Amino acid sequence: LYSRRTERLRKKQIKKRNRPLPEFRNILDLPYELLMEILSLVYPGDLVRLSRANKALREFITQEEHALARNIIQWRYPCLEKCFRLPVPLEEVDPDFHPALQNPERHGFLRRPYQHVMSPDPNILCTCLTCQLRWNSLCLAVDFAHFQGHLDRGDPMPMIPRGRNPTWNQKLVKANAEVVAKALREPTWYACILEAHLNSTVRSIKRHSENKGNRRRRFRMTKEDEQAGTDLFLERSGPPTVDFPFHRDNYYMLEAYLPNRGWNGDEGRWMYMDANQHDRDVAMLARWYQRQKENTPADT
Amino acid sequence: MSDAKLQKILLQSNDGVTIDVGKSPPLDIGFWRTPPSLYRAVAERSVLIRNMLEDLGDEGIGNQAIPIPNVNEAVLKKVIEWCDHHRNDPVQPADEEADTRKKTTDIEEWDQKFMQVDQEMLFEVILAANYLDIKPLLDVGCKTVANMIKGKSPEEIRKTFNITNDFTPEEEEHIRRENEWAEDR
Repeated sequence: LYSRRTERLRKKQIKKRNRPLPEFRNILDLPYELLMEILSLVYPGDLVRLSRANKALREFITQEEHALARNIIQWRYPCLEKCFRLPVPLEEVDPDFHPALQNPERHGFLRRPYQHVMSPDPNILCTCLTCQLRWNSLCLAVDFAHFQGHLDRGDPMPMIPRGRNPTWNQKLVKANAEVVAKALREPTWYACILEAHLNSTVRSIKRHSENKGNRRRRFRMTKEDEQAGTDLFLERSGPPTVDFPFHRDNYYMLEAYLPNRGWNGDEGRWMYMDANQHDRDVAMLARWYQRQKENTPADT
Repeated sequence: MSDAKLQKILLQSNDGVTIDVGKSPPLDIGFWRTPPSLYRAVAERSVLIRNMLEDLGDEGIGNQAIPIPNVNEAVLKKVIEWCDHHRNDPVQPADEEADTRKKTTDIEEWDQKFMQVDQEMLFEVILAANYLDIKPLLDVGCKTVANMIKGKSPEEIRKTFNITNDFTPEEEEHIRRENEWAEDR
């Protein structure tokens, strides 16, 4: 059968057949730099979920984890990153300092118990003051995130009588500590903690600003800030974080827990704790340990 | 830019179709005809074409079509449509581009509608923007795909992007348990 119409159809089919095949079948067939660009725009939690989609994606994300987490943190959590730095694993500390860090005399001080934060393991982590505070802050961020549902609903958090440690709490603080320990090894998890803490902070500020009776000074947060998924609004002037929330009771009134920074009124910006503070702390501890050894009589 | 310059810019797609940059529909309505300076503004959204025009000069190009070997007709038309709409956008300075503090995944309304295409076209537009070096279009494409991933479960991601799950149920369960805290945020 031949007609103009069939001729047109035939030409169309030939054209379609000769058209080069697309260079990709799905997202994984995009060139490396484009996939990196796309994955640097998602939330850290999305990256974790994406890594469960199939083996190739998991392999790509695992392989590029450091670069992806760096890219995401750089634009989403530049402020939280400086407030919540990671403690240093012991294996990364100069072995000459290990005796000072693992001195049993310090262990009593390390085991000062908090109900909601597990003490760091001195065999795994550096336990200089800076690293301890970093560990505590990260564990607290995970624990605070856990109770956001209670706080949003206005449900009371379970009370633990003094001196007791029920099994549910032991499990919870252990699980929180495992999340932080994993963040030391996997940068995506560190980014996930920052994501969770930004989420807690946004929810807390919103909760408290809806309470007309609460007229405390707080960070100005617009609807856009709330939805932006970045912590840039926390770079504005706001109440400084002075104390560590030593008990879960503090969560009720806690809004923006942003340790390790102070407001510089002259420059009109936040000044953050130096990232090298850990090195100074370890050096100081080593000097103290050396003095202790020198002052100890040889026969004891 | 004077009218003595190149009168029109022709691009040739990889399937051999020649497209006049000035003949994109929004600028050819009624009495309105695109002045030559605007052809250039549209084409020069692409750094690749801009460099080519600068290197070869108007005489060098003449009335020849510029071959775009990696892009087919449909995609090239789509890209020109975007360039046409954004022809007056200011060029973003390099230092501003590098400023991560200004980064966002928000997409303006027109671009959102522009990107409402099937996935094959979406990825083709991203690849074309990358090849033609049109950074703002590439950004819009990447943001669109990133927004398609946001908040989705692994199953929903597979469905969205037509990805086959090649994990065994045991492997998947193991990873799910490992990732439980991070996935449930």
